[in-house]
Amino acid sequence: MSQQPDSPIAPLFVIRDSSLLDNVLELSELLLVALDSDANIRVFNRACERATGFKAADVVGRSIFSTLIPDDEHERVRAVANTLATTGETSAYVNHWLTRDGQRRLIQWRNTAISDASGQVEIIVGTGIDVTDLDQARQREEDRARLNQALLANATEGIVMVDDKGRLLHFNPAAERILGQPAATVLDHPVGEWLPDLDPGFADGHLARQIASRTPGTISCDATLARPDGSRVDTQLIVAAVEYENRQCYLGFLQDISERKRLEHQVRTHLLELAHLDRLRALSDLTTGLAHEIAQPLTAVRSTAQACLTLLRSPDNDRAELEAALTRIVQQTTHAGEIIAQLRAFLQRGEKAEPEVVSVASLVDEVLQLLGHELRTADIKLIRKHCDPPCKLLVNRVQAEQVLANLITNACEAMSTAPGERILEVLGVSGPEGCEIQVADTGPGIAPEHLERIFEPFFSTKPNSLGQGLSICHSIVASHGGRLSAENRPGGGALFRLQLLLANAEGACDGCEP
Amino acid sequence: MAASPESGIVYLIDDEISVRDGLSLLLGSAGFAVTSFASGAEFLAADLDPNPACVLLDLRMPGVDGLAVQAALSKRGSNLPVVFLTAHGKVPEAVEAVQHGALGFLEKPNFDHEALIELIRVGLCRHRQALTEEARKAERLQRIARLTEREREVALHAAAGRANKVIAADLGISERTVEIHRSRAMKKLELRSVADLVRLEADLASV
Repeated sequence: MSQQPDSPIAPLFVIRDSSLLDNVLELSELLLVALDSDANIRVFNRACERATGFKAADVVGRSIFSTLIPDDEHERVRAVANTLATTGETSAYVNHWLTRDGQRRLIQWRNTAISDASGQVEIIVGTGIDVTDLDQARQREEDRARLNQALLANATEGIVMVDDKGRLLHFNPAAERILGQPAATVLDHPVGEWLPDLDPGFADGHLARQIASRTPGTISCDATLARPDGSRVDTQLIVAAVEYENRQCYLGFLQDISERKRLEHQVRTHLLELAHLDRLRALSDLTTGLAHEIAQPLTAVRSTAQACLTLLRSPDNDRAELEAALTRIVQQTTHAGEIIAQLRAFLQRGEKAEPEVVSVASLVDEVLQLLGHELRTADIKLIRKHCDPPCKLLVNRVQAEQVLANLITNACEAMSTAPGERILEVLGVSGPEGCEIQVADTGPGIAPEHLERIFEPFFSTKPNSLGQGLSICHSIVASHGGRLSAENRPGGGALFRLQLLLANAEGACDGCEP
Repeated sequence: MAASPESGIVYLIDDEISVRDGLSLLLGSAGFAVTSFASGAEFLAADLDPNPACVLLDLRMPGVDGLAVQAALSKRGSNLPVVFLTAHGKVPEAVEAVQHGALGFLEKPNFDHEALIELIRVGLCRHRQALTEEARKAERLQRIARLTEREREVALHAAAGRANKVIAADLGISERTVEIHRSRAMKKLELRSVADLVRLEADLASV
């Protein structure tokens, strides 16, 4: 609404009754204080009382400097008062008042001097607003902005912010370092222009909906990104949706995981080597049994073949007898071949390092077959139960067999000196997310003080052991995203639980959809 | 090769059925009668044929192992010869087996079949001899049992080559009495010469 330049502003109402004015001033939220020429307080309204805790009666008639102005501000405030008295100009000013209990309040003033007929300043009237809280809020806001700035500048994670058009709004130094791009060259440019690998379509809100559908409200993925210089960097990116300046924006946290990947690879290689050594060790333990296993069919084959020769040389040989004998030779040779094939699979050093889908039953069966001789000669009764419904696991078969073989061999060893019946239980238990293979024995169990340390490297209670077996098992299982734990059974003996992920369970990658 | 089945029985003890089948066929084709057992306990519980026999024993078996079977046989006073078969020849086990009188120790799978057959043949031959000797001794002891205590005493002294006079002095009886005991003993023992009596000395002393 525009005002006519020379038409006077009509007063809203004209105060005729001075007591009304007094009331308004008294009840106003505005601090109202009036000082005489000696700076003694003459007026001190309710708002002043509320702000300071003083009653008007406490301060009226006393100098404002001895009551309300902090010592360190006397000089400044006097200077302002003098200026006002000499020039008569209305001034705006900010200073502190001390409250009754010694707190400082920051007050913003507008001051006016009222002069007597001689032009001498008679009264200074100040109207003020307590801005202490406002000031604190502003201070906090500034601190927060400084903190944010420091966080962005010094974060080791790359932090980028993108608006709903995919344009880059923020790009911190770590992001510059990781992506090899100076912020200046990419700010305000759409991400897709310089990072085609990472353009999930910001515009249509698809990304925001996708993020919203997740708990904890972020999308995370691993991506290998190209730098302008042609090198590549392995990163992990976490994207969150934020409302910023009334737009749907996205905050991205970028981590350089090249080093982590390299270490992971190193650890995996190391584990494979250890696992291989452990297989060799296990193999040397198995040698006696395996030699026996192979010698049996060979003995049978040799004897039968020799008998065939003898039969052939005798004039009245029986064709049917010869045929039966030769058939047995074929069967036994096949059997020997199978044992050798098992052995080879067991020894194979991670040639097939990729996980494959394996049924729990076949895993258990194969290991038990390999160890069958040990079980029989040690007079161990085997109770085997497969999981119901049958489970399929996603594992490195050789390694999973190795873990199981280790657990079963340990169980057998534990029972070798135990009195009473020796029972080995190998049970498959299927659960909603995974399968548990339980290996239980009737040996002496695990001493309570050993339970905690049993998976530590070089921990062993056996005289001729390096203490690597269970530690390697533990690492293998962990590398499969599974869990290996040990406990004592209530009725005596040890129980090992080997928990592995089901083949169809969501595993390795935390949802990185295109 | 021409041994007839009557020449002896082979007791084959092995927990592996394929090995039992193969060896049975082999030994059968070599002319032996074979009886096989799947465990040491089964064999020890069986009624054995009184004829000459030889034991072919797997060393490592669940339950009663080969060495335990051998020990049980010798505890019974059996003189059955034992040939061991093993898939993992360990020196200490072989030594122990041989120390306890094993006839042989063959390693699976590549032992020499001829050697096995030869060992079994030797075993059967020894067992046959042992059985014959056992039978003879039993017969001698039967004859000795006919003697009175005094007759046996006099015969024992005579078998040691002592003159009647010396025997009479030792036993505090007359020389004539010694002569009578001695001639009765010779008759009961169905002996003709002092040389025959000398051969009986150990038996006479053992009673």
